[in-house]
Amino acid sequence: MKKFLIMIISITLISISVLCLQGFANTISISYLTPETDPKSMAVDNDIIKRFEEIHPGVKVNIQHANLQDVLPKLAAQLRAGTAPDVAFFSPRMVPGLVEQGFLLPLGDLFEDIGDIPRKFVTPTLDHKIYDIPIHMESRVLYYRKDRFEKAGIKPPTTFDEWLKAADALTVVNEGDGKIDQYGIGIYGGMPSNYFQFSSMLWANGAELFDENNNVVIDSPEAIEALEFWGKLAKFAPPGVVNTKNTELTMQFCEGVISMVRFPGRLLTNIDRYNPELASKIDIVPTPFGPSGNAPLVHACINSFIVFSGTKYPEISKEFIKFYMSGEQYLEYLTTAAPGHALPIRSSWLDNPEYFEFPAIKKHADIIRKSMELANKYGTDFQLRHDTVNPYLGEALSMPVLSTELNKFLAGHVTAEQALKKIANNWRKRFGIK
Amino acid sequence: MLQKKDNIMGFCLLIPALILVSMLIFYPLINAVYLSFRSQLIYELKGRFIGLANYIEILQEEEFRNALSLSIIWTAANVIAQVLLGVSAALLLNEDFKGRALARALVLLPFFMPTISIALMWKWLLNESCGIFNYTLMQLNIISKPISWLGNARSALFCVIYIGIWRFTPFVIISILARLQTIPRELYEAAEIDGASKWSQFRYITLAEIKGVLLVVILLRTMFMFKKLDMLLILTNGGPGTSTQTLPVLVYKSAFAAMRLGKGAADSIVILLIVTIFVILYMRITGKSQEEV
Repeated sequence: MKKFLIMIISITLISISVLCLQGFANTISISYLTPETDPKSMAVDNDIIKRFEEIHPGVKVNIQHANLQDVLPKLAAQLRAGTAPDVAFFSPRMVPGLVEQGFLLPLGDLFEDIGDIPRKFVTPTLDHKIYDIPIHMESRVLYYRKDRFEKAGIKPPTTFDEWLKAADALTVVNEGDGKIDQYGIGIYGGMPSNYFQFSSMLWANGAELFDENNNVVIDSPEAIEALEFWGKLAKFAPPGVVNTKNTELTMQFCEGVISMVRFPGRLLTNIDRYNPELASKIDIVPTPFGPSGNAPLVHACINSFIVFSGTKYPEISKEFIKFYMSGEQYLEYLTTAAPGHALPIRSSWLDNPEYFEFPAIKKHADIIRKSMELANKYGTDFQLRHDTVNPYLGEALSMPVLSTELNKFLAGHVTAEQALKKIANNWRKRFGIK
Repeated sequence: MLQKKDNIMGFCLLIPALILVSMLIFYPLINAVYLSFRSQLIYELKGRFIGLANYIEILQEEEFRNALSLSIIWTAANVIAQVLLGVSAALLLNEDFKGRALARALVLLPFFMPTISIALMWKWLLNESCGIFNYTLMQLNIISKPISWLGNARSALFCVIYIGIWRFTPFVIISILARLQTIPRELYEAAEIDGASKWSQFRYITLAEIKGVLLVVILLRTMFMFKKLDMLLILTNGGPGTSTQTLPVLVYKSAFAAMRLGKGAADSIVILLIVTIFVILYMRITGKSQEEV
């Protein structure tokens, strides 16, 4: 009896093991690393993955999260451990460095397959191959209060000079108590991302961080002029510019404390949440250009999909990206977490009725459409400034000296020239370049 | 023979703990030392050996000298204030009075709150546009426009030190209070009979009794405050400029913001060497106390 029982148990265990092994053998498993960690975005990702798995039986997508600050350290640890994900949602500024290390898979075929992503938004690489698929753009434009501009009898600014005058005119001092009731503009001066705002001013003034030969030119006279202008503009911002980040700017704009702010589309979601009445009183213009510049500018911040060269399943990984960026998946992605923030990068979506009829988009359709048009017309991003590859860009922008010196300038600790010279010298020394 | 067997058994029982300690402490430490001699970006699989270049860079770096002096100011100001306030509060809380239990609970509250909550709470309290501090001062007509408490070099350093004191003084209170409660009342009664003044009682009984704990607390607070990162990072991120950039903030920025693992490792080895001085002192003091016991 005892022997019989042992035999039955053994057979059962062996059968279960064989069935499990068979199950594993039939399952293709890919991993997807994303920095989208807010609950709504996570729900969207899970939903898209569920649908992908339904139409691809036997394929399992394992999602991995790391917030924006931690995504690079996490990826670094994974690359060292040989456990890099198959697909990642990533900043294109790091793409040239990853390509140089041989970590990325060329995605030219997928780019052709999707078919309507403007080539100008793809990161230039040394071998001119495509290694990243831009998924969306964030159009950073100048939001302004139409009602206040009308009341002050001024037009939305197109040049630095007009911008400064507008900021001055819209900084209102109540003569009764001497307290400022309303400020002209909100400035993002907090570390470590203040360089985003400064870079736009720099580009709008005809200056660059690096030239087309990858020489450091952030300390050029035009760049110094742009930073000095930023400092002048900051005088019409609420106190605490050096600590001001997106949360503070959102609050200041929604509460009516400021009349202008450079911001991506997320502002619209926040207006809906905190002060819906404001929606009819706002409009946008591109970043005005400076005396050394010649055209307005929009910082079209790009985010991309990449596939790692170590993937066992390149075709399934590409299929996942294509699926993510098509039909209702793409619509869900673009409209759920912060509608109007992540703008479609696929040109066919510029007139997609389904997108513009979506309630959260429809509410701000004019501004969103304008944001997209401006981004397509004037849009630029760090990695897109020249056709040449800049291998130093990712590291240069990450070096704390950049945001620290800009912050010091805004705090009045150093002059514009001192700040930019220090950044430039640090970069030159670090990379051994001119 | 039996003793040898016991020794082998004892060693075997230690093996799991040794493996764990090696994995969690020795491996990262050795790896940090190894990395400190290399130039390695965060996404590079292999860096390159550069000898002492990272350490030479540290010695030449203005930021490092600035961070070191700020670390000393931050640590000294915090430890001195925490100890003075902590001992005073502990003496008060050791007295009998109505509502003592509630007072003890309230005083200890900041220590049990998560750092992230505390840092964010203070950040908003001090906010220029909607912070209660500026609002109150403006309502009272003490100031005419909001003050950027964390946006000005001097006030930012003062504020972060103040918040550090507010947050960590309860640790001193708990430690000293626990020791105070073990001092026999008879000592004070005998001193009173002998005509000792309150000051003499404090000096020759209280202070003498809590001396050992106090020294340990001072050393622990010095070590903890010297390597404090999270609160400063959330409150000011080292700013404005580098006004509150202590050594741990500099290390974090070198390793993770600048992505230079080698430089970050070298910075942290320097911190380790500084903290080691306090660890040795701590070990000597605790060792001496145990011998006395």
